[in-house]
Amino acid sequence: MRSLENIGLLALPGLTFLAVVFALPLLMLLLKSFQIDGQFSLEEYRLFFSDEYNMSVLWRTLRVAALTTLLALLIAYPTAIAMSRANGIWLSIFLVAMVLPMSVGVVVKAFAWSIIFRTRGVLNDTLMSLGLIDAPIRMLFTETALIIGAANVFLPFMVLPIYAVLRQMDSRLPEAAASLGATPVFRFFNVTLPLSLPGVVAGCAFVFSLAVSMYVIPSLIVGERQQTLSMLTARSFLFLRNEALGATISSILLIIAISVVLGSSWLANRLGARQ
Amino acid sequence: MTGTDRLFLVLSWTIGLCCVVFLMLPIVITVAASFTSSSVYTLPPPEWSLRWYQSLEQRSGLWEAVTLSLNLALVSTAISLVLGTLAAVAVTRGRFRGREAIATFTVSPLMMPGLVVGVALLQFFREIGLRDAYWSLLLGHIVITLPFVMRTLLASMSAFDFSLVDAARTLGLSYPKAILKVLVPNLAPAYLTGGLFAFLASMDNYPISIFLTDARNKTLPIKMLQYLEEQPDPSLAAMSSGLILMAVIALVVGARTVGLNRMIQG
Amino acid sequence: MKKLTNGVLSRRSVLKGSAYAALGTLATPAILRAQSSEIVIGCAGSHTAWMEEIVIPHMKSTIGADILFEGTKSSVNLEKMASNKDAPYLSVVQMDDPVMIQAVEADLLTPITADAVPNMTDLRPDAVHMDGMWCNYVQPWAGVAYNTEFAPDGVPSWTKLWSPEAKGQVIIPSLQNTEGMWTLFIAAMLGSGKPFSEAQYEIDAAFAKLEELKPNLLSVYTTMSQAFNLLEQGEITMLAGNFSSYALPRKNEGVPVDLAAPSEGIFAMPSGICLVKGGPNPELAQAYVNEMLGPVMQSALADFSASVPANTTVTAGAIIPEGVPIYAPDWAFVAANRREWIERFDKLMAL
Repeated sequence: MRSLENIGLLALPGLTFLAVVFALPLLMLLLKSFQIDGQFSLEEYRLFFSDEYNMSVLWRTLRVAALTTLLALLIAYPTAIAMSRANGIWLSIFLVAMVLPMSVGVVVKAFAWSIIFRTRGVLNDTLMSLGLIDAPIRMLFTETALIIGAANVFLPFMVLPIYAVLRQMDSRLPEAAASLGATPVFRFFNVTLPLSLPGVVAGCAFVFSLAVSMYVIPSLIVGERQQTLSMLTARSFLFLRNEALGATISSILLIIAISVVLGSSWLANRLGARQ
Repeated sequence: MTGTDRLFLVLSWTIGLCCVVFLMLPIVITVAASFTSSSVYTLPPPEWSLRWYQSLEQRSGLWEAVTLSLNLALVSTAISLVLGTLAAVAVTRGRFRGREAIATFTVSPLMMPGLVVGVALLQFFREIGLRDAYWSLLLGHIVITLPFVMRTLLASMSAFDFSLVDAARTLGLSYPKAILKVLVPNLAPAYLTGGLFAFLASMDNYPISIFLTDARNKTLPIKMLQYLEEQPDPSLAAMSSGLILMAVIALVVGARTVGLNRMIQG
Repeated sequence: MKKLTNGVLSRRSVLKGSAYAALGTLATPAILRAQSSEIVIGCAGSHTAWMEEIVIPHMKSTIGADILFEGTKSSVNLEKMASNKDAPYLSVVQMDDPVMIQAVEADLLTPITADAVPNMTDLRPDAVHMDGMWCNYVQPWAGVAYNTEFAPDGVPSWTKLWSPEAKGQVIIPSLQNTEGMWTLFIAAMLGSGKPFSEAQYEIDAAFAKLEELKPNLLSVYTTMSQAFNLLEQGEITMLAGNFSSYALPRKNEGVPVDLAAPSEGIFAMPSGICLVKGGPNPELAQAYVNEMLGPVMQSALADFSASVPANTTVTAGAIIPEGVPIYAPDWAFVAANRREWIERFDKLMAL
């Protein structure tokens, strides 16, 4: 019989695996960012941060990742609510819409988006025939297109964790609150939302992590004129063959991503605990 | 139900249905483009035709790539589900500090550009003498599938009432049995979600696999990109439509045999 | 809360079944281990068609080799070669000269000698590099690809890329791609007003001229197929630096594109072939390279991919546009400066 104190040991296989097959190799690679001719040095970091261009890339990466997460959340939360109330054929439709797009690779989706977004493409034609615009507008290779395209790819990673938590929630709780005279708005903010927070945090962690590190999507949708940190990383490792620089950029990316995810889940916990 | 409630629901359903359309859009475009008679990957086509499906017959090694990808995705997802369940139970039930840190650590493989993980793994595996492409790929794929499973399970377990497991144990079930018979079915939506994410993330992985494949073991995304680099013609759309069809079949079979709908309903 | 489900067992047995199935297939790759007649070639994804249709059958019948190939980016191939340096699994690699120079720097190649590869003596002298570290086999020519519906007059001069009516109509390759160098060199020629042989060292003039191109640029690519697709769709009218082995087969497919050879000059793509140092099956690898440099393969490949053969005894292959100079740059100078250029280029082009 296992006591609750020892139950933590169950995490060992998974964590050990990640430590040995992910963290250790990564650390071995990233440590190269602190070395110049075998000596410990922070010179690579100083160089990186002193370059204005790098700062603009860093800022763009964070902005795109944050906006993608926000857009995905705004679409996903109501969708997850509708899905949690759905049954039978409607639930199947939602499930298919979440799963089926993931059977197609990102590269193929990028081709589809270029058909939709191009100047003489589906979207411009539709907008023009509706009279919403007079002349075609340029949509390809814009940051807006990137955010829309990225949100499209990552949406299921936001919807399903929220859905899983909502579905699990006892639907009688909001009803009980209602019978106690709570208004719908009060019920949403004080019952439904706090209870679904773990799903929201998980979904945001997925989407933000995926968006901050995406490489294929931006390189196809916005190209090399609006580089992101992961494009800089790829350039450093593969084309410049400068492992120290690549390791530096990856470390910065990792540290920022971890602090954002940790910070937001801490915040969510605080908010959740206060309710 | 009050008026505000109804408004709230209508709004959710409207956005939900728009979301479905938005998600399906690239799929519909891709399938439509695969039936073109033209060599240009675009819409609308001059005429409809099946020529790009016929052209797939000449593509060698496509089927091997599909089987390798399915194999990797199934095995890595299965392993991740086991490791992920254990870790999630430990983090949810255990009484130790730094559980938030562990939760973040488990998703951290997703924060690294896949290519960095790929380079790191390639160098590490060769350093320790692991040269076999299959095992390298499998280990690499577990690294990217595990985060999805762990994080999804963690989110759902934190909302799970563990007294049910304790109740089952007082009825004489061992702890592992209690987990399997009580926890897993109750968390079915989370298992389905996490498993799906893991499976699909493995199927679609390009940046890690590219460093770990060799001439004998090529996964599907690698093979497809190789064809794309050769010529940007609609045969890529035809291949993708084939994959979509396979996914549809899998969903239908899944609905009939394991009751996907029931599972996701929890 | 929730009921205890009864369906668990059946679900579990299904999962168990699929796990066994997966384990069964898991054992297969180990059985297909290397035989002595097998060699692995590293090449580009764009080589796939002619590797499968021409090279593999030919090598099987002439030297009895079973060819396996990995078609991927040169830079990825290089990273794999570097990581497997102590026990290489590639025997021969086909990639571009700039990457060859990096491979030589990393001590990954072994020289090709006329003793082991007799056909080497028939090559143009400038096709053999660094005392045989690598050779060019067939070379496509590079100019400007254009959409024949939207630019019916073609591209008679490189200056057309800079013309005001081409606003937002041009895509150029990133300097990370080999073919990205051509826009840089043309900018150097146009900016400095000097002939190519001198202009290729006028990099400041080149960057000044490239800056003027910015209003016309829709994008800068690293994935060529996507940029080419936009050209085929008519989203852009000109794609700079594109080359004959890619553009002309598309034209022959009936796609409304063509490759122009502007009057200022065109470029020879630096496609090279090399032997991997310590690679498996060295004799067979040398025989493979010998065949690739021999007249049969040279004419077949040159015809198939609209390229210029490097073997002087072969007359087949691409019809090089007449009256247009064809340039080959000083790759050593490129290799020494390319890293800095890439960073400078990316900053210049950034929006």
